[in-house]
Amino acid sequence: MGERGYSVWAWLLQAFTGLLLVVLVALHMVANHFAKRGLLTYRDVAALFADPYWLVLQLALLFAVIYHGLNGLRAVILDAGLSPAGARRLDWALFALGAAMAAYGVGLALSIGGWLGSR
Amino acid sequence: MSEGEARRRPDWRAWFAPRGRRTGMWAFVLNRITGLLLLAYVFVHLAVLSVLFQGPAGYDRLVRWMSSWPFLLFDVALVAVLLVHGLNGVRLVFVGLGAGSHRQREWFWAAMAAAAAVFAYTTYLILAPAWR
Repeated sequence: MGERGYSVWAWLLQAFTGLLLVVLVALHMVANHFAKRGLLTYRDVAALFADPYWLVLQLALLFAVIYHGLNGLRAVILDAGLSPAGARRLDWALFALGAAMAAYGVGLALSIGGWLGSR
Repeated sequence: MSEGEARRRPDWRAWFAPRGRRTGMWAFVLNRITGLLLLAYVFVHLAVLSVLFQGPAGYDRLVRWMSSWPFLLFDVALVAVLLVHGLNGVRLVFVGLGAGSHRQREWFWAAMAAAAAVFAYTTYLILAPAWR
């Protein structure tokens, strides 16, 4: 796993976010999709995201999913063999994609939870 | 882990070559495929939730749509992929750290048995309300 491109640190962080996701995804599935048969109305969604503790957990899930998913994709692509310049371009592309997903997700979560002013 | 074999042949088709593969390699390939499926689903999940910007009308329409049989069956399949990836992933972390690697085949089947048990229960939770 310490081969060119994919470092031991990338693997360790992938393992750490993976274990974290087992917990965060389980909480997400129970709170958002199984408790009371799920968030069936807009009001339910707004109430969940208005709760600061749940908001923090949901955002932690968002960040962990983005890192774990894109880093996993990176490992798969690097396995096919890339030039050093290609690997650098891949890293920038995945970083930009991850940043865009994070900005969108945070904006959506804060907006639905009524954290951006007028409720 | 018999990963070294794939390293020498970075061609992606090597993942599916059945010769000389052991349970550990199949489990590794399984985690990559389920991982890519889940990443694709995360994009869809986030994109679909943009209806929340339209307020209650948009979200209610989405919920009605998602409560239909085809989507509930999709949810069942999604949970299966999630459980296989998550529980096999936990096993891969321990194997990667050097713990239990001499028993990794047994641990793979233990993880799949746990996945099957949770899957049976969640399938009941997803489908039972729609059955009535």
